[in-house]
Amino acid sequence: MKIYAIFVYAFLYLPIALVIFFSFNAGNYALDFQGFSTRWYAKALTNPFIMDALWFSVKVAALSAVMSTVFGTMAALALQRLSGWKRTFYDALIYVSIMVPGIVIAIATLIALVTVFKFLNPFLEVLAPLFDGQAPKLSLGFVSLVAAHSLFTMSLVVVIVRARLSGMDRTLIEASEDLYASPFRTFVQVTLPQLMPGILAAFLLSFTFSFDDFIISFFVAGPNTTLPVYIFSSIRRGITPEVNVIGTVVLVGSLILLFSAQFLSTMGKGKKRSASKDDSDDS
Amino acid sequence: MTDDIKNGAETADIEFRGVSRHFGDVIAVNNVDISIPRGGFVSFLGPSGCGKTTFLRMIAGFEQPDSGDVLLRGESVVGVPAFKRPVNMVFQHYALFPHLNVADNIGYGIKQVNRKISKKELATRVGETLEMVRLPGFQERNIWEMSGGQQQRVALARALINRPNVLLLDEPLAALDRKLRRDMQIELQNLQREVGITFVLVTHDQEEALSMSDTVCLMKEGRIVQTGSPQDLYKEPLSPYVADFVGKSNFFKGISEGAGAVKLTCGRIVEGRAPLTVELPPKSSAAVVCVRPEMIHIAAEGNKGASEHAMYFTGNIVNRIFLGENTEYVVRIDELGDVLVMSSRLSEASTGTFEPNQSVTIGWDKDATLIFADT
Repeated sequence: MKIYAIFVYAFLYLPIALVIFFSFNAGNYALDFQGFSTRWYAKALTNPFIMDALWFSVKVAALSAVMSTVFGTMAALALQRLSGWKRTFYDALIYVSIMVPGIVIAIATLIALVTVFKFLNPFLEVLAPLFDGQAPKLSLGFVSLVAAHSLFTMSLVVVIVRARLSGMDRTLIEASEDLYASPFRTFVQVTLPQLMPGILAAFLLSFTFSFDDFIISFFVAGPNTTLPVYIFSSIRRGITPEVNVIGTVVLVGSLILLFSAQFLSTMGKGKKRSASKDDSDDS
Repeated sequence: MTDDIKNGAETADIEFRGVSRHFGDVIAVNNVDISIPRGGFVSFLGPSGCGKTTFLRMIAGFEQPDSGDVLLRGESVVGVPAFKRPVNMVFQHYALFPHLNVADNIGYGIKQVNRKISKKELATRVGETLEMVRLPGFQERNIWEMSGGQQQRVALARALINRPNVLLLDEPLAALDRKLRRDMQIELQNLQREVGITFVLVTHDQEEALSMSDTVCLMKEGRIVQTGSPQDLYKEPLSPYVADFVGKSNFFKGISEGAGAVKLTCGRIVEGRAPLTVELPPKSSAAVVCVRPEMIHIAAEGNKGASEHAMYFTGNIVNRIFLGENTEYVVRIDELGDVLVMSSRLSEASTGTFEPNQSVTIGWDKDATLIFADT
């Protein structure tokens, strides 16, 4: 390997290796290694702020991944049936939403949500008598964050499921209908199992994207704190090995999810190829 | 006009009445009337784009006719979706479900109709059907573990287990190699006799259509141009198109002299006959003479044999293709152009083989000459 290539990899991965290394630091300062210890792991995992932020992040990521997977898959199926300029147009919209910088989406989502809340809240006042004079009020928080993350990750789901769908053999659907299965049963028994690896991969990717997201969460989470937002604010108070611990744990978790997503999205394809490969060796 | 195959209107499994289907400006099926009797093996033969696949898909229910009526066992099925029709199809690339094993693939149709069927009964029927297609014990296999020929049989079993009124086969042997294709042709014929249901086959391969079916419908541009037994199509083609598509033919243009004679453009007069049920072209109208290459006798020039025939010409061999059981020669004749001649090994035993550039005499009889009107 060329020497500069080694430098590129070193530049990319050494900092990450250092984060993992210093998470086992016994000392009080992030970059002053005082010996091996797991005490910061114990400390981080018993810190209520961290655990609250972690739990909140997991809830948001899980719920938004479920929603984006369901709606994204539906959108992918619908887009598959469009043709001509309509398909090109909506496809373009999907890709644009992936390429638009996160900060733009964050600001746009914030403005949109605040505007909608401002418009709707006066109407909700009417309901005050039903709630002992305290009218329900829409505000930023868990629900708005889930909604924002769902929309943001939905385009990823659409792209992944569409890829799987376009690689699927359309005659399978005809074969199922030819064998007396109604369109609904065909969907459940043939289309869905065929798409499942793609759908699962999309779910895991949505989960990771939502879990890792800082920018949108920072703008839209309201009073709540997600894990990335917590880390950001705690760094301002000085870097402790605790941050390294969180970093390491999140890294390991993300890697597991990403590798499973990768594994799932390629699963089944190899088998399919070998099935159509050889026609000659009938026994 | 209705092409009644064996006048089976009452026992017809499938009936098309004035059926047309367009795709944009393209007419895939153009005003087709046909009645297919119960228990036959019918092939729809034609080049790609002749509408044969659309025809099959209208029987299956994947396409609906723009006009006309499609009847299955006397009942109109226009508008009835595929999953409600008592027909099953063997797809060109089999379309087996890759996420199900062999037994689940074969049992798929039964489970849709009878969701409460006991596992034991289902297993019995799957086992019986696998034996019928000569794949006993393959229940637990995965689809991708099987060869093309085995997948083909699973596809057959998956359709036949439902005991459909009609089995539709869409180019079922196209993906198999030559030897395996031969075996499957025989097997399909045996299977059809065994189960006794109507088989409708669509193919562009004339050999497949001729060898397996008892009735062949030759299609051209959305219409059926001739319906008949394979022998009829081969020996008594209704038009030069049929003669050209089924088997090989030499065509020579000329002007009809009436009474079974045609004056070729070179000036020579050839005698022949019109195919059965076809009129000879009237005198002085444009005509086409058709001669099958295997009906032409070839001999070295000056050698007797070929020149004893009613028609004979002399020319040079420009090409030779050895096919094993036969040899094809392309003979350049000044008066006719290039003529394809087929010589069997048996006849070569007496005439010997011929080399390119060798001068030869070719000849054929009046009976081997078919005369058509040139349209």
